[in-house]
Amino acid sequence: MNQESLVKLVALTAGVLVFIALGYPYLNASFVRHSIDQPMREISELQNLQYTASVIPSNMSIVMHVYNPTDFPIVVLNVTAPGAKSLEPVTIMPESNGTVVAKIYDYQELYNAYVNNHFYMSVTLRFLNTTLVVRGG
Amino acid sequence: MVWRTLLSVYYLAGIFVTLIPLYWWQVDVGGILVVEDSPFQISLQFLGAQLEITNLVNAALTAFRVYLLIILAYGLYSTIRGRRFLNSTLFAVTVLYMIEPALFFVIVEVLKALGQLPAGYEPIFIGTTSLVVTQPDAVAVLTVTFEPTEFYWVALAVAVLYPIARLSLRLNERREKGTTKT
Repeated sequence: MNQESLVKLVALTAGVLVFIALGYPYLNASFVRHSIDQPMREISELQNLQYTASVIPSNMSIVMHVYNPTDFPIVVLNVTAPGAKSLEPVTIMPESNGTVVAKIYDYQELYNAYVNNHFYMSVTLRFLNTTLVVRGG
Repeated sequence: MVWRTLLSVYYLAGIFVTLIPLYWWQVDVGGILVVEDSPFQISLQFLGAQLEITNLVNAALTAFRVYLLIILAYGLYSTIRGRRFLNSTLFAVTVLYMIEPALFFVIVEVLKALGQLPAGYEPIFIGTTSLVVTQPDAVAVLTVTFEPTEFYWVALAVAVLYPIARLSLRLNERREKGTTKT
């Protein structure tokens, strides 16, 4: 074996040893499975957003929950209905527990649309450089 | 000889580039996914949280760093001693990093074709573009940024020395062959 091949073998062995030394705590199936699932867990929490917005018809307010208010510091609610004039988009800062409440004062036409199932709501969430628009009825 | 000087500088600067723990590229996908990487380390942030898998990936990348350091140190030693030792690993990984934006585009297109990601964007090399993800009840517009760090240009400048040194070596060999014939 010439010197060049020997050096390459030494380098390769050193690399493997370093990988084993540093990677040892993570070289198990449960860690790998858990870490691969991590993005999916974060995404599923994010997807919950579209199911947490609800309308309380008695006082016509929209209540939604932002699972992590520090991630979504700005929430813009757009409320529309066919035949009813759209309200100005409402920008709200979520409370520390993640609850967002938007009170609709000019609601009669919207309320009529809501009881007739023609009520549309879109929620715009701004997160750093992402704008997420979720529509729901 | 010019090739020896060039190759020595390439190996010495290569050791410096390999040792410095700085990232080479940053890919920001709407602030949701932020990837900072180099061939020797990576940081993957998803929704503000560091992905745990990076610990394992970083162990492998550190192993590669150690491997390359030994090769480059031997290259420097051999070249100074006047022996011809050529290793293009650092040059290859540095040039391959230029295709990172293209690689990202291919991944998005493959996921799109497989029906896993209803998204698309205009491909770019360096700069900012918008990735639009469309779902039945939601539209997400993500600002995607591909940006090499200043240190990447340093690494690229070092890598460019390798083909120049090889060219110089070839010219030198041709010259020597010509001299021997005459």
